[in-house]
Amino acid sequence: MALLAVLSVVGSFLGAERAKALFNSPPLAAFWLLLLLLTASAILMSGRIRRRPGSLAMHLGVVLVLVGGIWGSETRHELSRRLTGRARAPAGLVVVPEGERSREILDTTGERVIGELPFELELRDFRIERYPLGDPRWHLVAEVLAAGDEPQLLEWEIGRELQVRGTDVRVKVLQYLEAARPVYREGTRETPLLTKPDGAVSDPESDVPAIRLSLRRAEAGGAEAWLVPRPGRDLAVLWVRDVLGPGEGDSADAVWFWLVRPLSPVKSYQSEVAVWTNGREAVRQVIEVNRPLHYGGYYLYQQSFDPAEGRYTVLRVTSDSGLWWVFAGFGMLCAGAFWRFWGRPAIQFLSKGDADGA
Amino acid sequence: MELKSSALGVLTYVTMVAWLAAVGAYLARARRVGSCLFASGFVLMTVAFAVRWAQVGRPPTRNLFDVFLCLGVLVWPLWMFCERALGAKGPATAALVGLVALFSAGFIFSAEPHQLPPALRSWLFVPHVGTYVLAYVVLILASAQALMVVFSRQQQHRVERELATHRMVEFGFPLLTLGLILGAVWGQRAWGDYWNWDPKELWALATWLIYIGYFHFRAVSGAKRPRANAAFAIVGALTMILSLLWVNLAGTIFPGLHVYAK
Repeated sequence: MALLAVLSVVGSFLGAERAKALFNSPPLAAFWLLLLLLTASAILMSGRIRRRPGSLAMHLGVVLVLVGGIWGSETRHELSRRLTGRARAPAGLVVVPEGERSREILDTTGERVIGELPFELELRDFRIERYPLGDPRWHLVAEVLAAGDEPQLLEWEIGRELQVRGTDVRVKVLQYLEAARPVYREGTRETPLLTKPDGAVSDPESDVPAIRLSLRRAEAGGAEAWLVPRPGRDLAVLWVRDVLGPGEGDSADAVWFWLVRPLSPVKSYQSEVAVWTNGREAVRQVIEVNRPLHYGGYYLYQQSFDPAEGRYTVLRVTSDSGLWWVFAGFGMLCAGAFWRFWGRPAIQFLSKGDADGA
Repeated sequence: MELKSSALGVLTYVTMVAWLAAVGAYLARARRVGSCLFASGFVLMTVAFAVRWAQVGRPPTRNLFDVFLCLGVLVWPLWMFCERALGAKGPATAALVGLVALFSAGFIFSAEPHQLPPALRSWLFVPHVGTYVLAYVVLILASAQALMVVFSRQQQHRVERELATHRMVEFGFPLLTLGLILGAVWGQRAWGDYWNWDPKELWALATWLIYIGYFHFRAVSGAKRPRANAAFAIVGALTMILSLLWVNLAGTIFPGLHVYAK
């Protein structure tokens, strides 16, 4: 136990991947087996443990967790594969494009096929649900490219002048239109004419936000400019030197502003999948985080998705080998702890009370 | 360091003042005044908890500010239980524990509310965090008793407080076990593995093993070595605090899945 506690602390400095490799390494596999044997021996040899239901349940719980953990481990799966030539892939990824089917299990890099599901998985639909935006206004960001600093998110308000850190550039938002309709003039620099669709039905396809900025530099005076994204784009950029003219090679020349669409946090992502076996649809379910699909000895979890367009889903697949042993062990461990430390003392306390009363 | 001017912040600071005064009163042997101040702080913290719940629209367990707020709420009722049922002594230490918890909530951690990411949208979220917070409070109060065992000069005080420490660890340990197991069950549902070898999980396991070691050690030596027993309880609590704080705060040292708890 002391060794496991020390290894746990050591493992915490390694990060999850390396810690997993450490705890699945051959010496540690031997350690797990030894721990299992020692715990089982303690149950068999100690009358004190066997006489106390709480202690017995806790020790049996540890045995079950170790048996299930060892049975479900990658090392055991690999051993089975070598000895029998066949074994389930213990874990991997399944990537399914929308409207297509797949049964391939990929490794965690998503590049190598490591196994096959005993069924086909079809992605019928993929949906991302987001929380509503608190403030729908687009973000105004300044970045000084030459300095290599982090971009600065500007807390802007109409009429409030802000300084771009590390430069003498000052910016003031003069006007913000939530839904402008830009008209680009042919043959000129990309400066749109803006019309605000007052009274018109807002058209998300062509309407964009627009922000009018006043820019100033100490030695170059000031000028105004619109910052407007193209319809359908999530970003517009504006170089300070395009508005105020080139400076003397100072940091202000490397300043640019972005107008960026705010993204609300993801609430959930859901894959509507169908399981196909022998040419027939066996199950249909929506998989999302905290709502896996269990079928054919495998659990399928929502892991990731196509970040650009949401056209495919990435599901994590794990074999359920040994899982129920582990969960049974958890149950016994917990029940044993509560009985040993809460139940038994409470009964003793109550019995004492009865005896005192009598 | 962040000063909070919201109602939540004011309630927290007023409670801190009350509990600081309670510590002073206990030390001045004005026990009744101390108890009144300690209890009134609990009432204020309960109001703060309700305000926070209303503000975020769910039980406040999302980040470290919420966790420390919960710790602050639970200190008084759990202390009362430990004092009356388990024989704990020294209410000033309990008020001091509450004060430290509220200092963290009041000055260190941001109260900015955040939406729940998909992984945290689970029915297991509140039971997992809730049982852990209960275990934290009880086991930290136990470690305060254990400190008194270490520094106590009178044999009888040492024996009494060692027994109280033992009872408190016995009371807190099943909660610690349940919290660990609920986390594992949740990990299985959310990430596909009941154990991910994540730094926070490993620290939680190390904490659990230290308390298991405590029980085995005490089962062998009994109450004959009170200082050694107390040292086990103190090391357990320190490891637990590390797993709560350091792992969440030092993301670059311990990269892992529990980063949302920052």
